[in-house]
Amino acid sequence: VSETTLYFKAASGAVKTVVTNGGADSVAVPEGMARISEKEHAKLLAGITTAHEEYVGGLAAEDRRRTQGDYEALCAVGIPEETAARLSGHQMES
Amino acid sequence: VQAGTGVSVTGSGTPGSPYVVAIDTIDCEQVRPCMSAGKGAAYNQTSGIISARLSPAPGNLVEFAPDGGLYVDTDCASVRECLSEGPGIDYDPVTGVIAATGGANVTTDCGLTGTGAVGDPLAVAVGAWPYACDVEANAGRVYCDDTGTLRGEPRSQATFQQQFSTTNYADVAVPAALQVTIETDTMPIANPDACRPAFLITEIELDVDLTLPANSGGIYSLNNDDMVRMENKGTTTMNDVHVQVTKVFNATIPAGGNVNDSIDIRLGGGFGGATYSRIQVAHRAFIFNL
Repeated sequence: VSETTLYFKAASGAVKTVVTNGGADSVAVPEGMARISEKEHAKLLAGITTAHEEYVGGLAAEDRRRTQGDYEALCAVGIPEETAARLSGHQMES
Repeated sequence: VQAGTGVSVTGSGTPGSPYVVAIDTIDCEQVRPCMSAGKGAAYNQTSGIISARLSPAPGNLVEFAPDGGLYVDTDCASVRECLSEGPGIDYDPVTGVIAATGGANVTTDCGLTGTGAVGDPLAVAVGAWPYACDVEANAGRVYCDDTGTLRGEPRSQATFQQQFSTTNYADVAVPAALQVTIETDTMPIANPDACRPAFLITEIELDVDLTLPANSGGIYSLNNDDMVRMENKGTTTMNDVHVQVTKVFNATIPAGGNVNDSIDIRLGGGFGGATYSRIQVAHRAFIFNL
């Protein structure tokens, strides 16, 4: 069965692909979206992916900063390092 | 006064004996030679008798009846020789009896039985109804098309339609309110049968990528049914958490009709910085015409 892929974008910046076996006419344009080319979709998706990686990277950095602080605080009150790491979620370097 | 041919004169021309002129009496023998027989007639010049002439040719059935008139006698034996038998007929030229034959004059092929004889009429070859239910209420029918070809009920068919959609978002916060519609996934579905309604089974799969920092959470739903509620009670972020969920529905599409099969993708109950970055929906339709 042949498949057709259509590309859309929303004003919010979201992008969508729709893959159908029913031909392009079988796809309803999603509300609030407009058809775009595959090339434009790829470009916008790359931007979203990069931003997402930066976002989760920032969260991970914040996690490391916070868990390390918790770890150090626990160790400072005499909690063993291994226990302190487990309680704080701190990832100890192996 | 002198008499010419055929005329006589008597008398002397006196008052007591005047001339009398008279035509001579015509003799039959004088007249008969003047006549002859034409077609269909016989003439005897001697006797002067005129009569019909009977042909002596073999097979001539005209004769004189005792009353002197013409009479045609029916000769069955002769008439019977004029007839012969065709397909489906049995003919006895001796007795003249005509009857339908007892068979072997009609050759049937698949779907027909019988010879066309009175005791073995042509008929459609059918099987015995093997079911316990009533044949009139449950059996399909056979129809004749414009070309004279027998036709049955519309052919059964099963068709399949599907679409996959993937929407990528720029890490949008999961709404705090419950069941906020983020997308409405719609798939137009046509009933390919112009004769009968379609029995439709649709299947929806939903997969939402959530990013949940420590002490955050969110819910995603299909229509008003919460499918996944996720909360991170750990100490670090859960990246791109996703669970694939499924729902199945059924519907009917009128003959030759269409439906826009839609389902809402809803998110809600977000807290603690929960975000979503991708929503994937698989939308499948199984269409049956039976």
